[in-house]
This record gives sequence, structure tokens and C-alpha cells, in this order.
Amino acid sequence: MMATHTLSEITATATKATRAAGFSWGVAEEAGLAVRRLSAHGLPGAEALAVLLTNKGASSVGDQGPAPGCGLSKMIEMLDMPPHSPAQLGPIKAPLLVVGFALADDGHWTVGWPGGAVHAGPEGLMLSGALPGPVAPVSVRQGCSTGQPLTAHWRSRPVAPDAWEKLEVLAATLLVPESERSRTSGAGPDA
Amino acid sequence: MTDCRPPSEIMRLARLGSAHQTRLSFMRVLLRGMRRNGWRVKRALWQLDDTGVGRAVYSAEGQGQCYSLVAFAHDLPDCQRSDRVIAEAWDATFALMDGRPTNADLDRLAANVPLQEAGRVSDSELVLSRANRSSRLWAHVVERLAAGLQPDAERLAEVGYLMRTTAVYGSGKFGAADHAALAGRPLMDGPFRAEMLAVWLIRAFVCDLVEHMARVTGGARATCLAPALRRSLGIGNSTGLGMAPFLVNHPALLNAWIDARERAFARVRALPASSAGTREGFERALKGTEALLAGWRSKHPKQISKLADLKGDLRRISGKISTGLLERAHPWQALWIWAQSALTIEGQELVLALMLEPHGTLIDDLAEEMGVEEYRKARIDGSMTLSELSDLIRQHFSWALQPDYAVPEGCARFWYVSEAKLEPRLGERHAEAGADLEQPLDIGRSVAALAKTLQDLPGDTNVADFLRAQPEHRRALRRIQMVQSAPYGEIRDNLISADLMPIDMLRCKLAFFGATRFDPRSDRWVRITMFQNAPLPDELHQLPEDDWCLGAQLLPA
Repeated sequence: MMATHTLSEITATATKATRAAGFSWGVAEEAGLAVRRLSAHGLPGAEALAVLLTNKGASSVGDQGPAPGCGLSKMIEMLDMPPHSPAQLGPIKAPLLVVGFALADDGHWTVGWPGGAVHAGPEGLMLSGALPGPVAPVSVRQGCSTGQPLTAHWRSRPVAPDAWEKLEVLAATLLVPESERSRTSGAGPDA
Repeated sequence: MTDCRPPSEIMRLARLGSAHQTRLSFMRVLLRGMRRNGWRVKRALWQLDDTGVGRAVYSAEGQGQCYSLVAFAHDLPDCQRSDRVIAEAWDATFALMDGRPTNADLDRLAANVPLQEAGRVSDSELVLSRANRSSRLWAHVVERLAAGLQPDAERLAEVGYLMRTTAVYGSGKFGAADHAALAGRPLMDGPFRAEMLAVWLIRAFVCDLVEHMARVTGGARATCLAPALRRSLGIGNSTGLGMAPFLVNHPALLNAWIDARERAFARVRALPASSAGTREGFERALKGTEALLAGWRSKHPKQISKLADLKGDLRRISGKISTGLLERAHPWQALWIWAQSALTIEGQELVLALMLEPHGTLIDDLAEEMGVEEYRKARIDGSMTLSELSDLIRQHFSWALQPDYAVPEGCARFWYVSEAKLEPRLGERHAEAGADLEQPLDIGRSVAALAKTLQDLPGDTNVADFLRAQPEHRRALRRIQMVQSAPYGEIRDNLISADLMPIDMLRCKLAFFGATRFDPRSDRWVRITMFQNAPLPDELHQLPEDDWCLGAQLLPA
């Protein structure tokens, strides 16, 4: 049986892994929150992030990364300034992460890619068609179709083991190895 | 309308580190709610052998809910008993479960809970914890009870607990359910309610366990703890740096806690007159505090000094009250105005707690506003201009701009997570490696760096464009914008300075929990007591409501 992880664990691991991959802490926090929102709605956000972070040459907000950008940077740009008119992106890496913007916003949005789309609003999310691959063009527009949305839920959920391992390995690089001094003073000596 | 105290005054570490529990503290809110709503606790399982090893279950039921503490008692050699969070074996381990455990649940938990961090619980559990005995006191109590005698009350008072927890993990840790699991549930949908419930039930288990061991030793001669002595025992806790980053990493939650307390304080100060009942309640709390202070001991120089100050302050408060101050117009505001000039910060924060004490009907509703859905509060407003951002910095972050972070003392420390312990630690930047892996608790320095960058940029640029070019400022910028919705969300001090006292951060959080008897053991960890003098589950509905925390039991009836 695939191991499950809580949303807290998913958020923390995604944040740390993103920071460890070279992004600023502020960007890493956005990645963690986006993955949390996606996961809460049953979408493989952690898996998408793992592919992005471990794929050399991934475009980041923090570096001068190559075009065509990535889902993380586009998601953050839209969080900061939602598009006023339909937007065509890409092709971009980790396109699913763009949905993180739609789930954070109070409005209704449709995020689409060839063969599928997500309709998201405050009441939940509907997936039509297939999930996007690792690279795809993405369209974003206001409004969404009607139907019964999937609402967020708090329960633990599985994450693909290879993706989880990649994120954990990255996150672990933020840990500081023990030294003689830290052994004696890092947590503080007894009074 | 009386104003709340400004963040610039109360969000400094010196004041946060002088906080006292109040009637809005989480332990008290929980027990008040359980009492008012008819909660009952039953010991559903007791399977312990003559060595004190085995398992027990305590189920708390009320308002259509049930939570069960599953306790495992172990035979721990003295040489393995350690209070450090990194220990690998304990006298007892616990999980708080949502509902009633089946036999399969008990077996699953038995295979994991004793391992603590090395095990894995499920999202049917809410809390994971462990505790160690106070060795000398434990042996004394067992010996006396086994002989049919009560333990020495003075020795009990000196320690204050029979077991101390070394960690209480909740909200999504090690597989346990996220806090969102409790959303919408009466009483339990509030900060740290599940964790406090677990500790309260652990206290009941510890009392039962010590009496069990006395019966094993003494047979028919053995007796039980007298109710008053039983009640005098809380649960100890050793809290270290692991707790400190919480307040920095949860600004919206910190804001909610402080805001509720400050609004309560403002409501009381706004009262035009006091009643005989509230005056009596205040004076009773004052006397109870004097009695409690007699049992609050510490060997830490800073705390010794604070306790001496507090004793002096208590005398001054008593003297002031005896002048009839509370019988005049606007008595509570008058008391506060006097306290600000006459008392130490420690004494002032105590006056706040004492003033809230007799005003439950006026302020208790605010306890339900101390939780917050954090993730919806974190979004950056990209349309704000850099000019507006600079205004916010000038208005709210002058404290961050004052220190010189370039000198060694201004950035002497760095926060990191230890590879060996997986716990937050504090390093010396100029003497240790690892600062390149620093955790982002340097809010003041980050804001100062952002402010410096903004000086060279056009004020009409918007934040979205700025962050696209300079994403390294994103975290600091978010914190600055948050001040608008969460003015009490930021500790307004340099958290990487040479003179930082992390125990100030710990005390702030622990006071909101409702902890008492703060006893710092260094600048980085502190021992406290939880639920001391609180009713045990079987007394919850027999004893007066919520009069346990300020020493009411120590006073003549």
C-alpha cells in the first residue's frame, strides 16, 4: 500500500525542497502552499513539483532561467496580478502548478491544456479530461463550467513514492550537519 | 471605546517573555468548555501488569464527540531517562485518537506510538506524546502510598508533577491528522485544544499509574492520593528551541491570540465602574497569585530576578488596591495607568491577567476568536506600489530598521535545523558553519534589506513587477503586507542578535497554553507545569468552574 502523507507534511516538504533547489524562501512558501491546495483537492501537486525541481534547467523565478518558464513562476505571477483577460502560456514546465493560483483566488477560473482542464472556484474544483504532462501550453481564463465540484479535504493522501523521495532528498540538504560546538550549545546547555 | 495596546508596545520580546496565563489560555478554555457542555471521561481500558507495563485508554465524550487517550507504560531503566526531545525511550508514550480505538487500533498504535518519531500514526490520531517520571518524587509517592500514607506535601509542591512530557506533537506531525480535521467541531476547533486535552488526560493516567504501583507494592495496606494532593500535581514539560520558530512561522495565529487578549483587556479597562463581585474576584486572584508565587522556584538568574520583582509588584498592587482605587470611576483603567508607571513589565503583565480574571462574562467569548485559517491570509497584493510599501515599513517596521546587522552582535546568531536531531537550533554565525542553510527567522534583517533596496527604485512600480525581478524579497514583503490584517503578528525584535533570549519566545507561547511555574534552565529551554491544581476528570463537574489556575485552592474557603 502506498504511504500516505498529511497536508502539513506535504506543505513542509514541498517548501523545504523548493528552497533547497535554489529558490528564495518566499517563493518556496508559495510552492508549498500551491502544492497543499492541489493535494487537498486530490491533484498530484507534489509530483508536479518534484519533476520541476529535479529537472535540470527548470526555469525559476529566482534565477535567470531559460524560457519557456515554469508552472511555479507563472502561478506566482498570477497570484500577484491575476490576468484581466484570457492568457496563453507556454509551453511551460509543471503546468499543473498554475492551478495553484486558481485555487487561491476568490474568483472562478478555468485552467486548460491540450486534452484537459480544471475549473476552480471557492466552492471547489472540477477536472475534465486528462491531467497535463510535464510540459504543456496552458490557457487561463475567468469563469468555469457548472457541475459538482470536488471540495478540499484534510485527510492524509498518497504521494507517488519516487516523487516523495525526490522532495525529501532535496529537503534534507537544508539540514546542518552536527559539529562539536553544536553538540554542546545548539540546544543550549543546562543552567 | 478604549484602545487596545499598540503592537509597538507589546510585541517586544521583553514583554512577550513576561506573559502570564489568563482566562483565555487554552487549558482553561478547554476545561471551562468541557464543564459547561457536560463532557465526561471514563477509563475504558486498564491493562497494566505488576511492573507497571501495559496499556490504558481514557475516553472523553461530549457535544457528540469522543476522543481517546491511548497510553502505553514502559519499563525504562533510569540510565535511559532523558528530557531531551532526541531521546529514544520514555516511561510512557501516548496518542490521542479521534473516537474510540478498536483492538486493531490498539495493536497498530502499540507498534508505533512507543517509537514516537521513528513510528507512524494515522490521521485517526490527533496528538502524539511521551513523558518521563520525576524519578525521586515518583519513588517517594509510591513508597508512601504503598505504606498507607500520604506523600510529603512539601516535596510534591517543590516539584509540582510526577511526570513531564518531552514533546506533544499535533497537527499533521508523524502522520497524525491536520488541525483542519477539527474544523467546525464545537469546543475542539480552536488552537491547541486537542493537545491540551491530551495533556489533561495524561495527567489522569499518571495519577492512576502511581496508585497502581503503590497497590502492587503495598497490597491491602496501600492507599490512594488524597484529592487535594492529587490535584496539586500537574504535568511537567521541558520545552526547548523546537517551539521557538512557531511564533515566527505562524504570524496570523500569533496575531489572533494577542488580539483576543488585548481586546479582552480593552473591554475591561473600558468599564465605568466595578461591582463588588469583580472586586472580590480580583482580590481573590491577587491573593491566590501570592500563594502560587511561594511555590514558583527557579535557579535561573533572570527568572530569580523576575520573581523578586514580581513579589515586590504584588505588594505594591495590594497596597494600591487597599486605597479603594477599584471603587472609584473607571477603576480598571485607573489601575492600569498606575501599573504602567509603578510596576515592572512582569508585574504589568500580571495585572493584565488579574484584571481579566473576574470578567469572564465580559470576555470569554473572545476565546472562540483565537483560531485562524492561516492559508487564506498569506496572499501578496501585487497591485500595491513600492511607495505604499515603503510607507508600511516606516509606520510599522522602524524596529527592524534600527539594529546594525553588519556588526557581529547584530547578526551573531542563526537559526538552523540540525541534521542529527531534525530539530531547530541556534548557531553562532561567526564561529560555526551552517549559516548558508539558515532558516528565515531573521525578519528584521530581511525587512531592512528590502527597505534599502526600495530606496533606489521608483515608487510607482508595483509589487508584482518588483517581485518578478527580485524574488529574494518575497518573504519579507509578505510579512510587511500582513501587518495590515495582523498587526500583532510580528515579534518586534532582532531574532538573530547576540543578546536574544529564546526563552522569551517560549514563555509567550506557553503562557497562551496556560502553563505556570516557568523555570528556565538556560537561555534556550524552560521547564513548566501544566494543569497544576486543575480538577481531575472525576472532579470536573464537582469543583467550582475555572478557579484553579490562580491558586484558589491554596486559599482559605
